Amino acid sequence: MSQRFSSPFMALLTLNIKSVFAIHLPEKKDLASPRVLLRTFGWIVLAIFLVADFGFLFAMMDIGLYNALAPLGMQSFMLLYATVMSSVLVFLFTFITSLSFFSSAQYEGLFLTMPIKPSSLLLGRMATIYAIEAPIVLLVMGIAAAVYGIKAHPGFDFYLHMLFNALAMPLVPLAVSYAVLVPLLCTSRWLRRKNTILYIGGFIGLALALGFNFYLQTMMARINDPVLLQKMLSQGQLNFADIADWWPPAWLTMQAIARSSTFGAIAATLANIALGTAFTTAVAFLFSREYVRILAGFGETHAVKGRLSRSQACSLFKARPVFLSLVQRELRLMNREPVYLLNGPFVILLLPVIFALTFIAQGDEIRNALVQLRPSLEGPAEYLIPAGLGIFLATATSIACTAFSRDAKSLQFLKSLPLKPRDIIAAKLVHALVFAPLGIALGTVGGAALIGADALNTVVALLLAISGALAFNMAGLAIDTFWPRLSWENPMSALKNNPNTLITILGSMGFLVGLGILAVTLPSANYTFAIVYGTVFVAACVVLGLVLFRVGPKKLRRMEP
Amino acid sequence: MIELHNISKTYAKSGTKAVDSLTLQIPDGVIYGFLGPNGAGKTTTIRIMTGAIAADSGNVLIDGIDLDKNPIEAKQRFGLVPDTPDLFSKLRAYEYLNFVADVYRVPSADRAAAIERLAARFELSDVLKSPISSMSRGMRMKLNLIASLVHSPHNWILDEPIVGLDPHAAFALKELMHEHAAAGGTVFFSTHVMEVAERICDELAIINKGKLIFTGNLEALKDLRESRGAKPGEETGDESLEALFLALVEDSEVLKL
Repeated sequence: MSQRFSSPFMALLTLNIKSVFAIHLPEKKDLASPRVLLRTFGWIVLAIFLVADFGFLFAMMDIGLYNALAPLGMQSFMLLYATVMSSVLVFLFTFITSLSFFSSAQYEGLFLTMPIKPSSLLLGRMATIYAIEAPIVLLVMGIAAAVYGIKAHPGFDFYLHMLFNALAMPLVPLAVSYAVLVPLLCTSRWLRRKNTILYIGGFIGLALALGFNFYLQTMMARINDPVLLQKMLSQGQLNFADIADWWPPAWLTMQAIARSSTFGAIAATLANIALGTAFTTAVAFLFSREYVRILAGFGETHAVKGRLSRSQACSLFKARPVFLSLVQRELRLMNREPVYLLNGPFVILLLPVIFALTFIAQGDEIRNALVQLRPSLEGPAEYLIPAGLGIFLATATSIACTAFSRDAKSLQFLKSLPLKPRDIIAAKLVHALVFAPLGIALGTVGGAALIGADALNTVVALLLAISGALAFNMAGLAIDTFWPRLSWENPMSALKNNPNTLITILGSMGFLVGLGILAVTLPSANYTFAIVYGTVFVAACVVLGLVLFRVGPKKLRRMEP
Repeated sequence: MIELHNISKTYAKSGTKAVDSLTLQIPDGVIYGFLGPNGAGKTTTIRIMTGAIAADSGNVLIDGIDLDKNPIEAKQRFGLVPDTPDLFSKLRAYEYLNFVADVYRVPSADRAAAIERLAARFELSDVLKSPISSMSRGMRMKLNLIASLVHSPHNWILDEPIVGLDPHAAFALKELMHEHAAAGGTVFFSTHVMEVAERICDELAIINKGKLIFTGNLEALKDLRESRGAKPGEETGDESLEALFLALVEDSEVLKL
């Protein structure tokens, strides 16, 4: 009987892809459980929502551009825009994904002990990143093709050129990313550290998100003003069009689309595929030895040598109250883990920055909208909107709703220490509340300034925000006390990919929007809602306090990873 | 003294009965080895006796204090060396030690002296400022050993403490265990290596599949070996203590069938 084996490269690629996507579809028999069924349904809805959300955004831009340019007979410019947008997005995403994958280089180093060629190792990693990036390009280009197809009715070959050029598009960025990153990481031990990679990747990711947001807002503002768009186009002021001239994959794509149904179009598409394949293969072979060197030396650390002097020892080993020590431990463990810091406390600063960029990009539109909205903001909305913003920012750090999930690895040891469960829970709540004042200050005071609320309404909003933030953080902590996610290998799973984060953030948003709608629709005296909502928040705090500090300790004793 | 009375534990997720009606008495002044193959229930027992997880039934007394009824007082009476040395890797060594000392309410002067003495013993004085993440597995294990003794506990509980230690540190640990027992304290440690237990223990218990299959001192174990046909004083061969340990484990499995 003959046995079939995958090649080492294929085995590696399969493992890489399975590790990255890690989608465990439930078996048919498991779906009999309502819990599994509900969870599966929830994940499917979320996936559809995410794809539909971005798809809708791109579709609106494409339709807007097409409609604005059609009167000038320049509707195909929309395809140029989609091509450039795909090229830029895929370049940035590929670079950041390639960089991020180095953070797991320590584990990948295990493959060095196996009979796998260095080039296969690098090619396997590049192929995995391709599998992540290709669907993004297919989404952006596919939507553009669909919009153009519905409106302009091009021939079938148009779709084929769009498809093959979209598939070729991530290849050159992939090669460029590794051609830059491999030599860079070879030169510096500091860069070959997981934390460094996570911080750099995290900040580039944030900058990318901010830049993308700014660009979208700017484009939306232009699309909303077709006269301005046409003027900019005729005067060559849309600088993104230049990218298609000097970035070969974009240029070849445009050549293929513009010359549909000709030999030139086929040649351009084939050239795009050949260029990407050749460049990627060349990088995989040229840089594979250096790549292996990076894997072998990744995460090399050395203990900091240096004996503590007697005076140092005396000052360092000072007794503190247990509770203070517990809170400090929470702060240190969160702030020193890049994944936690960037997706936790840093969010308080990030969200206002996103808003500021939106304001810069669409300042006039927002100011006009505020002027038009001003009459309907009179009354409860004047303090409810700033209060809602403050509560949301103070809750968005996800500190409380992931408090026990993040502690999964040390929970058993913590429970063996002579600590009152109540103190452990209280320290986690205090940790979340340490950052809440900044969120309240930025959200409530900033929101009040934006809508021009007077001093009294600002004070009322602040009081509501304080009680609301306390209630929502307590609710988040209660959720994570009773349903913590204690089995995980990557810290990301404890915070970013934790359902409790999603439930708390979406739940708080939904709840706040609901309260806002009630306030606008129900007629009432100006401060009735402040009293009602304030009472609701305070009552919620009391109930949640009882739940957390009476029932919580019992739950903590039974908590098992 | 540590007493376990009729402890049972079944993990809800897997339905596995990890510990089954376990009763143990670990007296003062001895080094007590807790042996068993992988998955026998050693770590679960230690987690129950330290309050990390709750037993389904039975109770644990630490120096006569009920762990369930007075957890804080009971936990003050022991120091634990967990089986995973990778705790709190984002902290620096001195921050971790200081945290543990705070939790055990060790006065400033006492903790500085204890840490200085223990760090010197385990040759860790030079790296106390280091992040734990930059330390080797052995160094982290030594750090956990220091942390477990910083409050001078009467009972010392160690889960697989020898794993990852270099010969020098392993020797220092054995010396400390003997000193602790000689001073009247209790030393309870788990291992799956008979040879380690044979060299260190005064008394031992063997567990397999959650059930206790032997308790007694080394003499009793040797008597058992001789009753199975080995000559007195014989140290090697098929009936060595290691072979006897394996035979006991196998017998317990046959009996279960």
